[in-house]
Amino acid sequence: MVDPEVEADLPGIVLWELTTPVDLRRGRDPFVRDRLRELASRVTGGVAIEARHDEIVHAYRVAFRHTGLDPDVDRTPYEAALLERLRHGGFRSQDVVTDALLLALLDTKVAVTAWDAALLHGPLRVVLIDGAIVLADEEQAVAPLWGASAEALLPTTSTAEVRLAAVTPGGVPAVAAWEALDRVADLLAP
Amino acid sequence: MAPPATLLLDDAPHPGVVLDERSARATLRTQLRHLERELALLTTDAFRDPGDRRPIAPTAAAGRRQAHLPTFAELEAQRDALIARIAQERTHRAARRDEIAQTRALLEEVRRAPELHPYVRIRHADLGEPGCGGYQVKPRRGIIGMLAGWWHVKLSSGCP
Repeated sequence: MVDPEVEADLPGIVLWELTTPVDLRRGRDPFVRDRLRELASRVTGGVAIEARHDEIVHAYRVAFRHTGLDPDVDRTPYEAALLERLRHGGFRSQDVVTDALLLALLDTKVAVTAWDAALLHGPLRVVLIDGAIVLADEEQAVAPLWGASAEALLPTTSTAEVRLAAVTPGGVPAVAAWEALDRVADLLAP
Repeated sequence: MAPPATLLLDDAPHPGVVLDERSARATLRTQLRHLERELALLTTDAFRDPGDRRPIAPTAAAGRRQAHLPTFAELEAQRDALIARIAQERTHRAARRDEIAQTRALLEEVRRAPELHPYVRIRHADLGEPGCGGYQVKPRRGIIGMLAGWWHVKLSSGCP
């Protein structure tokens, strides 16, 4: 659910949610590692610059401007991932969840966030808290919009279910958002 | 009463004039969308020119680094900053196009009469073209050509 006040200023914004069982005790998936390596080999400075013409990236850039952010300072998720690749010479494989989120982002250009489902209370909402747009459950703010999630709510090896969410601005096709969520769910499935 | 075409929300409200902030904000958001598209075109245009590689400058108006609902004034400031940046970028690109045109003219001249331009070097980047090579006026047969005035234009790949 998106706060009507936020929706009025960001028409077309949608919050997508999915709760899915996971097995995070296993090691990193070699398929994901290889795929990240393969995708890294395709990223050049030109790709990172030209990305802003992509329909989805453009939608995020516009939404950033509409929410008072400068996408050339606070990068949109996809552009930030490409920039990290250019800085480090590759996509750094970190852990099962982060890798799955990164792979879904690179494949769909839609940013997905994951939380330990047991630590959330009720459905998520996009709301205004002290003037800031945040994602919140019924009791707490869980992440700023387009920002990093609260560390304490992140999935751990003992997590049995994760809550995945993507907030897409107007202009992002629904199929891309569902594909992103589905991709992460698929990669984390037991 | 229909809302006026332009709204000055910073001004004190005039009696009888309805300030429709919502529609004004929507107009500003549409403008920001178009400006973002235009800036993207200019940015990629500059990137495709190897002689014009510059860091991407942020827009001056960006301040608070957390997603929020900007006020009308904030949106206006952001639009104005984008317009200023686009204007600056356009001026820069126009100057750069003139520079490229001049370099091309020089290359034509050098090709026509290389003996008048000994050792002149024109890089591909100066012509707005990719590649690290360029054109250089060199004497044929080394010192003999130099003394005899036998000059020609050599195209070098320039890459290691």
